[in-house]
Amino acid sequence: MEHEPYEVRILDSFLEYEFYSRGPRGRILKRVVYSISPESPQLYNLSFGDVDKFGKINDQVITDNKDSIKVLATVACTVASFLNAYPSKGVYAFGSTEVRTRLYRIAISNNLEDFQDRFKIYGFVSGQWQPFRKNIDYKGFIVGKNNFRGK
Amino acid sequence: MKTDPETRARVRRFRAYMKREWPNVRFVIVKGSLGDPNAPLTELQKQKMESMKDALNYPGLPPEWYERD
Repeated sequence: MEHEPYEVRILDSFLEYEFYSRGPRGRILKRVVYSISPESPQLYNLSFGDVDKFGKINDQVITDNKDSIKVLATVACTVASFLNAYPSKGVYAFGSTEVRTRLYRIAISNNLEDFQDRFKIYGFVSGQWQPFRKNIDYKGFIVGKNNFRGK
Repeated sequence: MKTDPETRARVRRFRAYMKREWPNVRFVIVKGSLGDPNAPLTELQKQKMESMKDALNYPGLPPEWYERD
């Protein structure tokens, strides 16, 4: 990755992660959680956002801490960590807002060469999944570990 | 609380992986839960789960991701 991720606190199940965003708005706690899909045990949903005063993830807040690239690099690191722990699984992500979906798309596009060596990445557009390509307005993404065929 | 062998192996594998692939990332591994594991899903999380369920009705993914137990 072009940007160095933040230091991460990782739960030993590798399903939950926390880190602090640091910027002009101060130190803001972020959490990433991977939850199994009730429909397919092969896929996990990525939830990501600020931790609110009740200890819950708020994935609609716009933090504006001027560090979105570093934050996304950290989220990418958690995806890699999750897939290392669960190599047969896929991570499903779509942004809670158009802006966030676009951010995911940019983060993947900017690091595509590096990512494609490690991961298989699919984008959802016009009613179908396809291998991720740059400059396509994908609505959702699924990422898995490359060259993994077994269960 | 004693850690089960599967978790220990996963942690060992993770440390080796991070050293190899993400040498600049600092991390701390903790036990337990960071949030309330029994907390009900928010409306948005429910919507995402529904959306994920729906996404699996569309073609184009590797077959292993369509497997349903």
